[in-house]
Amino acid sequence: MGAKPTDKDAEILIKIPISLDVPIGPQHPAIHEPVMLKIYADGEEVVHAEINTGYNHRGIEKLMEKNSYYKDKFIASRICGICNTVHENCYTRAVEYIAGLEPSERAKHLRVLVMELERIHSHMIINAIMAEIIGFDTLFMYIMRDRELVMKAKEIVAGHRVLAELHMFGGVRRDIDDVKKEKVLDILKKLEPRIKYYRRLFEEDSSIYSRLAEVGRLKSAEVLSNSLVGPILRGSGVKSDVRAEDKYDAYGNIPWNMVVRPEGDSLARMLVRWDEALESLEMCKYILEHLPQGSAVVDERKLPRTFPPGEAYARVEAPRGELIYYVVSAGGPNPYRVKVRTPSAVNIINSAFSYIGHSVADVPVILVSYDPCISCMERAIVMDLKNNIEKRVPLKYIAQWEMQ
Amino acid sequence: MKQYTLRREVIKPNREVYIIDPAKIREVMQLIKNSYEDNVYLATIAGVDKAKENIFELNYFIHIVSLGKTIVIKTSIPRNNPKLDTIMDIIPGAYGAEAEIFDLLGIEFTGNKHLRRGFFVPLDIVSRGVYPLRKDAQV
Repeated sequence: MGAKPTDKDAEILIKIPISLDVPIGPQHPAIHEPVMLKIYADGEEVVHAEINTGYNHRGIEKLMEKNSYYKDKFIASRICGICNTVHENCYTRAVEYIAGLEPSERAKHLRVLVMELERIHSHMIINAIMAEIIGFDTLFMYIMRDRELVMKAKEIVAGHRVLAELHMFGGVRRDIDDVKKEKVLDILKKLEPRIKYYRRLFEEDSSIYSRLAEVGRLKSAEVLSNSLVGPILRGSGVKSDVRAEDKYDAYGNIPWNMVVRPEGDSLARMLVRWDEALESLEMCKYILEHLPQGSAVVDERKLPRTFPPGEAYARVEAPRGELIYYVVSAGGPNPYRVKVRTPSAVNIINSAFSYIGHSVADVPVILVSYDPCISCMERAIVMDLKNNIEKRVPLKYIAQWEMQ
Repeated sequence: MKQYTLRREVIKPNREVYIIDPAKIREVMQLIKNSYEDNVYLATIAGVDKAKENIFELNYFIHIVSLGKTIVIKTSIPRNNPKLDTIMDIIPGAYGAEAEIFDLLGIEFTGNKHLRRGFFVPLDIVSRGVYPLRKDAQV
């Protein structure tokens, strides 16, 4: 501050007289993952955003290369707590493509049932967090209470409340009987009016509307060029859903509609999630009522210990978007390479552009509408050293230099 | 697309693979983007260290929204000179994937200014100059 310039060739000096750093993150109540979003603001307006990663890199891809295919299945489902079933589904299917295994119809329907139950609770949790972020804590409590119903249903089907561990190469690990089926249908009946009520609340409540509508609007071209996926893509009017495109497992046999909204703002993304939760609910009911007969549980003792060489690229529609597993096998008991691309990785890392121009107060809303903040307020003085002129400019101006 | 394709393959299940010359990567990406009127997104880039063949293999997974299918652009570069042109100015969504591959596998994307070590890898491993996903890396 006020130091004389030592570099004689320098033409300008930028002085930042008031530098208020408020680094919230990598650990913060609004963020589920340890990521730091660094916001540079000119007054209230965001002029530049940086996303810092690497706080929790666990080296899972390397770990999977070092372990057998069977251990990897359990590692895969531990990548994410909320959407663990889609991870194991995607990995299991990639390995099945390589090995040429085909699960039975009943097993495929049970897989879809657990994945759709997971989508309902995942969409409920992010809507609850959105309610909390905009200061509606009561709604957070209510949604989280009703989410417990789904967790119970998942426990009845898979045996576990969080980590389902239902998948196995060539089938599933547990089957359900009529008693369990009725129990789950009962829970779904209780849940349906609650989700409809919350959906109406998000659409009609004036305080939720004024905080979310028109905030973080994304055009479909921006979403596509930055590779954002899932509800962000469909909230901006792009018709793309892996379940409809790949028709993996039993999705080709179950009637359902893809939810697309044209608005592209935070409210549209949240409403896409509520509508998808309702669609998932109908799918779960349909699966339980039309569950094919036959065996679903695979005899694990008869499964191969080694797998043939080959490559497989499996996609799955996780609650947050397209999840990808690319598995390379060189033969033998361990995979040669496993590449995991989670939807949050693109949705968060590539989304820095979308905060620019919005007010600081909207940043948590936009972030949560993608899923996972921080603000730094700075102002600058620019000195022309050659002419000794001091000029006060907004930080926005300097941020534009950097881009040029 | 034909004039750029050296060989065609299929990755399970039914993903068309176009094997191309690494020097043509920018032209191919521009061609795909133009021919589908920007209705495409880059799903990810997967780098594979094929140490025995002394190459790095790069797989660009491109999702064509209007057709609802994913195609794969595969190319390989020598292991002792891991350099390739960036496609970030053509497809901005390549940022995360290129930064990750540089940090984990040590492939340099020429023209990408945002590459840095420590994007994902902890600093103690960065200071030892180790690229963890290489097959000869001791971690």
